[in-house]
Amino acid sequence: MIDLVRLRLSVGVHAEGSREMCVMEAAARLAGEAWTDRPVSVSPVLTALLTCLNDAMDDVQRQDLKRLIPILPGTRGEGGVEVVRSWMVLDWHCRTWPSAWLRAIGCTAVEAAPITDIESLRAALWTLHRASKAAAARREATRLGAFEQRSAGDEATYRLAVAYGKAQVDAVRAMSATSAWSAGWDLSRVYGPQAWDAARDHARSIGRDAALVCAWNACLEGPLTKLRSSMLALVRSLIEARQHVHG
Amino acid sequence: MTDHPYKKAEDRAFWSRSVARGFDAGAVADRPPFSLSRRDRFMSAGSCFGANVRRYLDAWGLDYVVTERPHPQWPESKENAFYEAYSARYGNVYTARQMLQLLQRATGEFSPTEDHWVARDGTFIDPYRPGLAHRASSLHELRALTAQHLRAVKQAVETATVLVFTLGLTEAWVSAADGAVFPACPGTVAGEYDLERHLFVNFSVGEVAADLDRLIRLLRAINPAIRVIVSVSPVPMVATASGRHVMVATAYSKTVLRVAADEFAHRHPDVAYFPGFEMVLWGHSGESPFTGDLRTVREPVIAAVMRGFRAAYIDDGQEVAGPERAAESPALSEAVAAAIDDDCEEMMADELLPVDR
Repeated sequence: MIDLVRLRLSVGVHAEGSREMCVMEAAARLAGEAWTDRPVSVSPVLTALLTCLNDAMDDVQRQDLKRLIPILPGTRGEGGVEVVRSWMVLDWHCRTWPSAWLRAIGCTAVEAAPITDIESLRAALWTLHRASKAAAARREATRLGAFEQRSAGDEATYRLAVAYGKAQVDAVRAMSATSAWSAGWDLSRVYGPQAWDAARDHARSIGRDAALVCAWNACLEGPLTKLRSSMLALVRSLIEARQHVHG
Repeated sequence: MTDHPYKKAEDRAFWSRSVARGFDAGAVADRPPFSLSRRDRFMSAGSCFGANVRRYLDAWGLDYVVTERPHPQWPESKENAFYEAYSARYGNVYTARQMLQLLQRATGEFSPTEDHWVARDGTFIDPYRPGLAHRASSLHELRALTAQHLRAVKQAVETATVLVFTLGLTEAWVSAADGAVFPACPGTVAGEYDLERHLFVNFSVGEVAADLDRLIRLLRAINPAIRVIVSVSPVPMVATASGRHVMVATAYSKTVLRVAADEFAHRHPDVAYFPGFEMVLWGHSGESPFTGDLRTVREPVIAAVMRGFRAAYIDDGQEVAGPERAAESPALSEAVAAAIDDDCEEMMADELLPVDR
């Protein structure tokens, strides 16, 4: 058995018998499987997503994944279920992730229909493209404003803000909200690599530009917190997808 | 005339009949202890010469396992060719110890003390992949990238049914703290050399053999079905730190590796020795197997070696086409091969080393 209360999740893979584990090693242990970070009883889409999150989160945030461990074993579904899950992940990456950032900087969210197949992904591309332009414009305006502040003589404040912003944007990247991209990779290679590459690029640039604006405005933690919760909600939805498909 | 063992020996036992004339690349390797088919899944690792394996297996339509992709957060990290030449982004693995430690790290059994270097521009460098084009902007990013990389290494071993491993060097630089092997001397490609922290080693036959034995045990623990084809790179050393002439140092290194590889194959039924080393050095007449630098193996020679590889292990009766035909143009294929050679850590170190006189 495994003591989830005392368990400490940490980055990467661990030797068998280690007191520290990654989230998937803990799930394998709970399921009574051999020591592995890719348990056979867990959905491969969930495994891809959660290992990526495990490694990208900081030590404190990572412990939030512990509550998911008991519900992971038994989630591996037949081919159809995993395809549905992959589209759910892509949908989150293309709509939820950029929308959270867009709202945080006062722009309109991505107004696209749910992405459930390659046609709906292609249909969303134009909206994503427009949204990325809007985020880039907002970032440029912020940058110009920052330069004005510097020219006004407040050099120390400017330097501090830039350093703070850089560290925070690194944190956004490391949070790996687009780890969804990893989980959706196989699907995208099969159904539409070009469309997926374009969608990924738009979503990433929206996140990057908006995060810079938020960092400058010292309001980065809000969207980050929301996205962390949203990601965990997505994981729960992925688990439930098995029940829906199987009726 | 009395009877003797040579009377009944096959042509391949005679230099005059099988090397000096009538050379057949497909007849050089010993009968392998296992058979392979098009259903097998291949991964490869090793020195620069080993980087050619993937090009040919891909061109032949065989299943080459690739488990590492750009990280979702840093997809812009286009990598140097030799990092993309293998199943995961480990780059060239020059020594048996380096390969062993790579798997030990991938299974969580070993965590090097010296796990990052900080460059002058503030970026973070993986000491075990110092030639990566993409450098992390924070320690957190480096750790995420490293964790993803090591998971991909383990997944490749779990997925593959065959590992093709090319031994390259016996000389290495290690951490004084825990013996962690660096692919290049700190201070050459990246990092800073420290006399107290970085030690030079030149592995003996016994040490290489012991490392290979530990390697196969670890491979089996991860994937009991995996088999290994081991070979020795014919490419001479770029430089030696042994104090000897580089030619003498190369001869020592290759001889040690050759002996260790043979003994390794004889000890384990799931290991075969592939004589690519011999085929490059002696399996042709007239022209040098190397280009003008006397190190880089010419593409036609590589093609012949790989034909021998296919004939020995996966002869399925199909027409053999190499990447020079499968690629859109021969120039492209050659360019990829050249990039793999030119960008490896050994060559980077050569270009970056000052000439002190």
